[in-house]
Formats: sequence, C-alpha cells, structure tokens
Amino acid sequence: MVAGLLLGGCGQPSPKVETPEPPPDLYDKVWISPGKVMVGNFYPGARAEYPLTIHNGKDEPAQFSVTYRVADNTAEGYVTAPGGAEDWVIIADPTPVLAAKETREVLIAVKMPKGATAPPEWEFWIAVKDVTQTGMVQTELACRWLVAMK
Amino acid sequence: MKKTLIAILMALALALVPVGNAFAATTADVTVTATPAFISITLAPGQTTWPIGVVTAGSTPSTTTTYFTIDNTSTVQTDQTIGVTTATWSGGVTWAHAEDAVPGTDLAGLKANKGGTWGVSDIIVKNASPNFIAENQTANTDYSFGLKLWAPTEFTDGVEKQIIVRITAVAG
Repeated sequence: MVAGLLLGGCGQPSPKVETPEPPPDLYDKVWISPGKVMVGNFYPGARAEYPLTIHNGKDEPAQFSVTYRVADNTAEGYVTAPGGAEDWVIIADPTPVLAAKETREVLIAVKMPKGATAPPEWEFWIAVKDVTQTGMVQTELACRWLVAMK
Repeated sequence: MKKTLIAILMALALALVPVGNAFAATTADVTVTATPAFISITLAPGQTTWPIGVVTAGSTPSTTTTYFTIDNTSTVQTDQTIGVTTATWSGGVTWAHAEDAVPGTDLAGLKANKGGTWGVSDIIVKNASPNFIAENQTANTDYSFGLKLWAPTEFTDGVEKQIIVRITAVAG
C-alpha cells in the first residue's frame, strides 16, 4: 500500500496523512513510519513535506532527536544529497518528548532554494534516536527520502 | 470586414491556447508518496554494554559473536549499518578511532561479527560511511552480533575510554 499526495509549490497546507494501524506487537516498541518518502517532479524553488510518525513504546517518557542524516547507503539509481541540502530540510520538532506509549507526528519539509542544483535523483535520511538510551551500543531508526528532479 | 475581424479573433484565440498549456506544464505538481512501513529495532534488555575491563596495549579483546541481540520488529526488509558516532574515544588523552581498524599509538580499531566466527567476514566499525551489519534483513527477524577491540599499540594514559556504537535501520 502506498499513500500518495500531490503538493504544489510553496505555501500549501500541511498534508493530511492516515498512518496505518501498526501490528499489535509494536505497541511496546519504539518505531517510526513511513519507511520511505518519494518526492517526484521536484525542482529549485519547490517544497515538499510529509509527516514522520514516531511511537514511544516504553513505559516512561522518552526524548527523541530527529535529525537530517547523510545516507549511509543509497537506493538504486540515487546518490547522496548534494552538500548544503541539510539547510533545505525543515524539521518541525527536532527534539520531541513523547509520553509512554504516545504516538506523534513530526512534519518534515524539504524546500529547495531557487538557483540551487541537485543530481537527477538524490537521497537523504531523517534519523530518529531515543536519546535516553544508555550503554555502549545504541539504536537509531531512519526514513529514506528519495527525491527525483523534474 | 466582419469576416476579417472573426478570423483575427480566432487566430488570437488559437495563439493563446498553447501559451496556457505551456504554463501549466511548467508548474506541474510535485508528487509525494510514502510506503507506510514500520521501522523498529531495539537491543535486547541488558545487552547494551560490553564491560571490556582493563586492556593491555596491542590486545584484541572481544565478545562472543552473539553477545548483542537486535530485536528487529520492522514490518519490511531493512538495511542496517553499524558505526561509531564520533571520530575519537573520549576520556583523558583521547584515542583516535581507526577507520581501517588498524591500531597505533592512541589509535584504536573496532570490528563486528554477525553471529559467525571471528576472523571470517568481520565488519569494520567506522565513523564515516558506516558498513552494513545486516543488509536486506528480513522483516521481523532478529539477529546477534559481537564486537572486537583492537587496542592501541601504545597508551598515553590509563583513563577509561568510551565510544558509542550505533546500529541504524532503514527500509531496504
């Protein structure tokens, strides 16, 4: 199943997105959704946005960091985002604190400046990390943003 | 005269139509689609730390290759990478982190192994460009891994050192 949106240039209202129900066994887990966001027909001066859903399955509140991330690896045909793309990405709330079992949407937007250039197909990640984790080994969840230029 | 005027108006109308279409084509909508999968990994409780203890110069202490378990409840296939979050080990005179896992003076390396045998298909744990620890990991399938330290060949001090190892999961 794929959720689809058509977004115009600047100033469009925030998209209304229905997040599907997660499987019951994810209630006690930390998860994010969606796994991938694909932007098509993008061009300098355009803006696209999509909400990232975060769930805190723990029994206590947790603070998360939501950050732009250079892709460790890219989908077939895509290359890592051009330098400076980090400045094109807007994260509505980069440090949300979620109550136990809370699910919350954080709006992510990418606005490419007029005059900027980018490869035909490029990728960046939005990474989510529970910053209350302790210990030597920690986990992070990421959403791929795949951008295809017009 | 009337016929001439109509002809001119029709010509003007025809001339204007392509202009309108061209304008529409240049303002085509940006499309955004998303795959509503759920990405979820956690470390099994009580398995977030490896108490390495005291190490000697040039030693290579390790865990078993199943010491850490990733509880993978993602609903789709994922690509998972392993890396360290900083280029140095903190504490006292810091150690630089060796991106090739070759130790030196105040220079330490780290490798991982996903449930196999040390020395076979070891994964270098890097800071920049993290390597896969679980590429194309099947949905809802856990896995285990271990860590191995390549201690510096010489230390400047005996202060405890720390670095964070990060496992990142993304849709495959």
